[in-house]
Amino acid sequence: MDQAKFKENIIPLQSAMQLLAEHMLGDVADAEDVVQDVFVALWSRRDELDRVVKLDSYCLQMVRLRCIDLIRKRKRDAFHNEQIAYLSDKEVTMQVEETRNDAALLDRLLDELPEKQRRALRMKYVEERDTQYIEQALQMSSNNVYTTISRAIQSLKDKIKTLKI
Amino acid sequence: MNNNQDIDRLFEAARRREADQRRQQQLSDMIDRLAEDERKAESGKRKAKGGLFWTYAGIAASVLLLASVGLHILSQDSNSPSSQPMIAGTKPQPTTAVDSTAGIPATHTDVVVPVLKPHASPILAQSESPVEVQSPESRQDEIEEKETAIETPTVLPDEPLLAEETETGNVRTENETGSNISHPASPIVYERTSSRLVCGSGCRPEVRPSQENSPRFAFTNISSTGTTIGIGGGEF
Repeated sequence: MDQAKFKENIIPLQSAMQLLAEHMLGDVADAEDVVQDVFVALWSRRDELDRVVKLDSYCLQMVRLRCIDLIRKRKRDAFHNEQIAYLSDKEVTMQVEETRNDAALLDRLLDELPEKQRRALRMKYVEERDTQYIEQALQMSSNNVYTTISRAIQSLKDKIKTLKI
Repeated sequence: MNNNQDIDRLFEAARRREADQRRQQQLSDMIDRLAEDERKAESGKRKAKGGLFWTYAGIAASVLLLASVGLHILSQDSNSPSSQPMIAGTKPQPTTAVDSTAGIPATHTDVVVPVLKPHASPILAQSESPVEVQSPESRQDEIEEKETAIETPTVLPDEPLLAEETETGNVRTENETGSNISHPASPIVYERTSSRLVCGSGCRPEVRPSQENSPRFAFTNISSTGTTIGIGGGEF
């Protein structure tokens, strides 16, 4: 598997691998380290990947084994082996798909809002910027930013209610 | 699930998607760096192999060069100083010789460098006989013969050819083709008969069959001391 094919087929599996690692380790940073280690290992054995039938299952299994190794290294084997939250490949895939759908739904709802409300909400809740950054970016006072965000949230609630009906 | 929870879930999904995109970009950059490092390592290995090859090649060439030089030195040592050189013309000949081109008698210190014919192999040249040592008389003979050959007139006289010799001894007559005809006579008067060359003393020089058909001849009378006493030519 060459470099381009690797980036095309393996890199997108990062979401599922990250989700599984976070679920097993309970820590985002540790999960990112495990996923990165798995990617390095996958790259080193990329010549074998062409013979793998289900790449996603193969990669998720590598994440599982790495997570177990990390947990054992933490010398919490006796305790964590009983409580390791295993996720099946299907469960991981479903959760990743659900996350994608939710993000796509939010994009559609935000697109229906006025531009300033959409940008304020995205900076506040997606990019997690502070209020001062939003004030400078939108050239608005702090009161106006607060008011704009409140109105945008209310609009989203209304739209979600409409969708449930 | 109320609307607030729904909104939180949506934003959480959006945040995760953003984080995944950033993380995937970082992983993609990491893969690029790994690939670049592998390419550099491969090129380094190739360069190292190439350098090793040329090192071995240089060592082999040096060994061959040293071996050839050693063989050359050994071959020279095995020959005595007066022996023939391996290749003609590369070693002076410590003999008395004649510089045939200049016509100057050579001294004992003169050296004759054999001249090889074009395309002559060194082995054949080496197998040639050693340089001939000539006496002063024979050298003079050669010089005069050469001059005679140059000065021989192309138009031969119709009158009987005369050649006188004041000393006793054989007279050598040289015809057109350079063959020598010897007869003892003095003085010598050459007369033309039908197809014979005769001298005044009644001696009939021997004419070789191959020369009988030649209508013209030239000769040089040379005394036994090597002095040229007459030259000429004629027609049978």
